[in-house]
Amino acid sequence: MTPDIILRTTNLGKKYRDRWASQAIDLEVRRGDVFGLLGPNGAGKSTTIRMILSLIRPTAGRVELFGRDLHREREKALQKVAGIVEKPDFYLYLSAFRNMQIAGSLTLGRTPESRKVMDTLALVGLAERALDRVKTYSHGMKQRLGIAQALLTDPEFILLDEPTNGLDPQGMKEVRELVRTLSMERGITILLSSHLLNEVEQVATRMAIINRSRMVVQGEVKELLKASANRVLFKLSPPKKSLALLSAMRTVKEPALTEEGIIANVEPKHVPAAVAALVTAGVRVHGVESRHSLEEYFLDITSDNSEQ
Amino acid sequence: MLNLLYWELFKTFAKWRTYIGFIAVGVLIPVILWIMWIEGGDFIKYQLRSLQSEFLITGNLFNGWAIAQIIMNGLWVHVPALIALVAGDQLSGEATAGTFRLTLIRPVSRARFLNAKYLATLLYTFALVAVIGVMAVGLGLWIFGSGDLIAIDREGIVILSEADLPMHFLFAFALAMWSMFVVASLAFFISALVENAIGPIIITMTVIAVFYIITFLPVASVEGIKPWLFTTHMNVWQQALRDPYDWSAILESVVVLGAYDLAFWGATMALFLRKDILS
Amino acid sequence: MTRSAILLLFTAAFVLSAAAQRPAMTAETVLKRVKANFDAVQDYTVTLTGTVDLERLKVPKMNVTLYFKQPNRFKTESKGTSFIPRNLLDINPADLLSKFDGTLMGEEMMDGRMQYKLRMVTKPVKGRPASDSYVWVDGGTWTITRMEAYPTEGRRIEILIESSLIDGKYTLPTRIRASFDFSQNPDSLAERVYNPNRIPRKGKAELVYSGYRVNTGLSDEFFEQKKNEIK
Repeated sequence: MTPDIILRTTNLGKKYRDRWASQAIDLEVRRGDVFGLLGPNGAGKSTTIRMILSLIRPTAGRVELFGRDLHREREKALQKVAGIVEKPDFYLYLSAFRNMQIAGSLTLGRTPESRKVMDTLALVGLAERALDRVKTYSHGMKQRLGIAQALLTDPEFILLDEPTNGLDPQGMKEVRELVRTLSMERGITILLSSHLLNEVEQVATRMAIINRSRMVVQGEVKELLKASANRVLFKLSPPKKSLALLSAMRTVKEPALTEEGIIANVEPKHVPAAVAALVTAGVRVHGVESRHSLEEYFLDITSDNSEQ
Repeated sequence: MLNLLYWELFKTFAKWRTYIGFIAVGVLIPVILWIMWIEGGDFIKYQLRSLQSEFLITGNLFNGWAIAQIIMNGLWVHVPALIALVAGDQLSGEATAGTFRLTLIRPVSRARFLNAKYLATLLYTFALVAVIGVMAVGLGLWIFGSGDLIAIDREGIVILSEADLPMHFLFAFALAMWSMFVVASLAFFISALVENAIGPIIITMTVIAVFYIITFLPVASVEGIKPWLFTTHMNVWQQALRDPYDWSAILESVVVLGAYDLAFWGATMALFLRKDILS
Repeated sequence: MTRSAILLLFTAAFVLSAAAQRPAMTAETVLKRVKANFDAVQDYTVTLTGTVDLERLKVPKMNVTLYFKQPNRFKTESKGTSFIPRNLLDINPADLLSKFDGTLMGEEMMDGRMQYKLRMVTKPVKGRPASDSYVWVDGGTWTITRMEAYPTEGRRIEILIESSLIDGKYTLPTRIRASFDFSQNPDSLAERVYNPNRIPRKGKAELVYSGYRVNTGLSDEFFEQKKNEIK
């Protein structure tokens, strides 16, 4: 394994009785990645992250972190790793400061310096509330405290399991910005899971999609997006006549009527001609949008998968 | 390890429930002392009634040491519940609060983490028994004065000289602590099985009650297992109030109780190392 | 021959006259002498040290101040705890006279001194079986020197009493040694009601009396029991 590979899972899987919660997961996260782990709820993302963080013992396969086998060298493997699994939970009866000290001491083997703790809390805007008990914190504050405790020990790899869960749009934006900052300014490799694909699309450089407990695809986000680059949304009226016209065009593939309009695969160079033909046929064109988003791709993949 | 232990103790003693035991003891012992003060030593005469016809007995036998002995006899019913209250929360509390997701993703081995928790549990047990000892003996001596101690059990009657009593009581509390460690270990083990706050207390007390029932059941078929029940050895502290000590009986109890500690600790370790943190 | 016969006659006459002058001793007369001797003591205070070493009853060494006032009031004070077998304190000639029927069994020599041996049987009390005791009284000091009591079947107490002259006029015990053998008695009420294991079985006790102060005029109030003191 080259040093640039931070995480590698091989045939990783967890079986509960006769049901695989996660199966044959072969992830590869490289240094500097913001790696998105995508999948619908219940797909097995959380189980996978828990196996990587040693919260769950895998039934099959192995996890390597920084080139070290998690099972055999757990302490060394996790030395530069931090994470937040689902929602960050704390000792609610203790202050944020104490929670930070406890979390830090588990990594460092000694109580972290107070100054370091306070600086890290200041980074997430919690310095003034540092001595308040966590039970008085809002959900957003807990989320920020979670990030602070993850950052405290200067990790090189952070796993964030559904980091924007339960946050309002502003909170979600803040998390996205934080992820970018951690990656770009601090050079921290990040693996984040989410079922909100748009979110991952905005921050991830590489990603994997898990569906029905199996990994479906893995790769550069850019490359994966290419596969869905020809998706176009036509907002036309009347819809049925429009659909019939588009279906008759050779350059338009698989047109389908949706609530938003008609989605079809059209190469970008053929779009103007298609629009002209529609206008000529008396169709009113309200808009044409490119839909080469990860969400489309994800929906495609997961729906294909579910049909199998 | 010391740092781990420090934080486990910090967490334990930052919780309100940890102080319930101390408060309960802090209230119960003065109440018992007050009742004793009102009662005025009749119970000592009652204990000695079979000897009154044979002996002219003098001396302050209604003293702080006797009171401490009575408190020890009385409180060992309640102390297990108070220990289970804290020991039973050590693992289940973290599971319920979800804080394993904060701690067990850190590069500390689960074994060391568990050992720190177990040690913290034993230290809490130590603290509770020590507080009982200091309060029972200290307040007892302060209010009722000192004197020799009459110790009555199945073996007979021993009058322990006042000068020897500090050592006898230190030994008694050490043995009491040893037996309470089994309660702590049992509750700790159950807290690894159950993920709620009240379950470990109820289950621990139920197990103790069932074992006690078997211990005191006058049925021949259970005689064989009685020596192996920890409840049979829970009152080993009474052996410290003998002269001379019955070392073989003490050793037997210490070994049986220690074996339970080891078994519960081992079982907890086995469970915890394999435990999947799902919540 | 004549001289010899005369000497024999004289001797016989002397012995007979001496015998005639000495009153016929009975248990009662012996005990009355003992009581008269004891009655000279109205009260005393004495320091008792000693050990009680009984099976199933471990008592530390005693150091007790014992107060006595006639007829049979006792009070003890001790810094530590004391368990004094009542049998050792209750050796009272007045009680022997009033509660027992005595028979003079004969005379015995003990340590070169003549002793009267008395057999004492408790006077009939309804519901309580009679018990046997043997008492030895020194014919010179009129003090009890030895007792053997069989309070109930299977129980035996032997007491040896050494006495000395106190203040030149009172003969009082200075050392009492006792041995107990209380075999289990299924008829004993105590053993049926209480845990039989708690009853001491066998053992010894030794009390050494020292520092007598006799007839200091101890008041009755002095003997009132204090709170919390086991009596």
